[in-house]
Amino acid sequence: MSHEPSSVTLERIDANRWRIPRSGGMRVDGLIFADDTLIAEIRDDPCLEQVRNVAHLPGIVGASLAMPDIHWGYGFPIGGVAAMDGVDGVISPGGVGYDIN
Amino acid sequence: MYRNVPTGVGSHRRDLTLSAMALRRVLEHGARWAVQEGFGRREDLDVVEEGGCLPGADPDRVSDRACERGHTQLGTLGSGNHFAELQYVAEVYDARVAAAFGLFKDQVTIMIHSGSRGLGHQVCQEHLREMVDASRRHGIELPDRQLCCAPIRSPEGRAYLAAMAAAANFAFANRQVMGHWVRESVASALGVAPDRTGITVVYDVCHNIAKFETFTVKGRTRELCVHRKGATRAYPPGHPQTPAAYREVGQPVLIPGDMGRYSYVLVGTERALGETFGSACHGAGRRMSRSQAKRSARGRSLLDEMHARGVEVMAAGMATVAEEMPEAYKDVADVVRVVDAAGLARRVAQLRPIGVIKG
Repeated sequence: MSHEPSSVTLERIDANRWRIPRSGGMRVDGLIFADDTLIAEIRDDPCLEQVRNVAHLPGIVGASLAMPDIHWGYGFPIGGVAAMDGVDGVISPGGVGYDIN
Repeated sequence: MYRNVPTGVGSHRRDLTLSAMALRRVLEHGARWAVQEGFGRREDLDVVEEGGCLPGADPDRVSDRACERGHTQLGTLGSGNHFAELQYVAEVYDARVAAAFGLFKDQVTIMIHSGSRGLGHQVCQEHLREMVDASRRHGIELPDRQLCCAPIRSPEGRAYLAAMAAAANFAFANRQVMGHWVRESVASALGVAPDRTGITVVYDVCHNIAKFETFTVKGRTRELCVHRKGATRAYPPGHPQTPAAYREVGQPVLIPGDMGRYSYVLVGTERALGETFGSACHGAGRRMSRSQAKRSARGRSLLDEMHARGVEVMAAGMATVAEEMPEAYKDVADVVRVVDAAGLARRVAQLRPIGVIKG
């Protein structure tokens, strides 16, 4: 379980968008939708690391996305969106979660 | 409603028992099965994501254990964050779109939040186990083993997708059945015929799903497998997948809040299509863990507190009410404000709770 204190780099894009710039094995950036109020709640949460981790997955397109209600979930954050190439990408049960649908 | 819609682990209703064959049809046909069996109306399906049935579902990919769990749980709410809520429209932000959705100020609404119950849980658990090995076999390097996965076209990937679609169909059928019982409950409370309640479905949306959808990425049309976990689809006006009735305004986006404050109805935008693969948020998001919430509830009467706020709560167990108390969640208004300001979906109406049913 990766619950170490977050060492994720966050760059502000605008009033409601934050970027985790691509680094290491990340294939795309992380993109988080949050304003100052919500980013303060998320900032030290392990869910940001999860946004970064999802960006490593083969076939991910665009960015590893996080909605403003993001919180920690199994593997993928809850409030996360990840689009994979329909041919070369992967499918992950953790990206859907236990409560299917 | 509390009497008619079973909340707990198994159903007490004797009028819905599923044979093994019937369960297979539920897994294959989803909400369509429910309508064929007399639960709700054909036109309900026009406003359900994917018409209430995901393609590619294979009941043979759902284990006996998962089927066993699903067998007695069709038409049940379940515990955790699941609920059925009686609400009213407290604010209308966009009169034109609200009218297209059939919403107006002070109107009574009902929101149901439930999914594939134990069946889906079992599917997830079993496939996670298999995917750990699959990731290794396919040489996929993972920063966290909980991200275990398989190529979409691999046997392991296909097996999960077929089982997941079956579980999703169970969830569509589950809500369709409960929606029917809600209509019956309202009819009996008002003393009118079940088809005279005037209750229509605004929308039914997935929020934990992976689906194949088509997008234009950097000028190229691509089919993508979009994982939405605690996120909902939010399609714009004019999109072929936006229901015909809403084609001019966009897809309704339902954002439940906590049980004490409010929920929102939003509408999808073109911007979300380009920026988030047509996705928006799903809810408020927890700010306390379940155990933290339970600790904070000690010595309090949450039902009385909720009553004082004008919300009647009926629950199968008090532990769930404690875990789900309003302050366990972020203020959904903050979440919705960001989604609206970022242009992913626009606010249409605010719904406030009157009565809450929890499992």
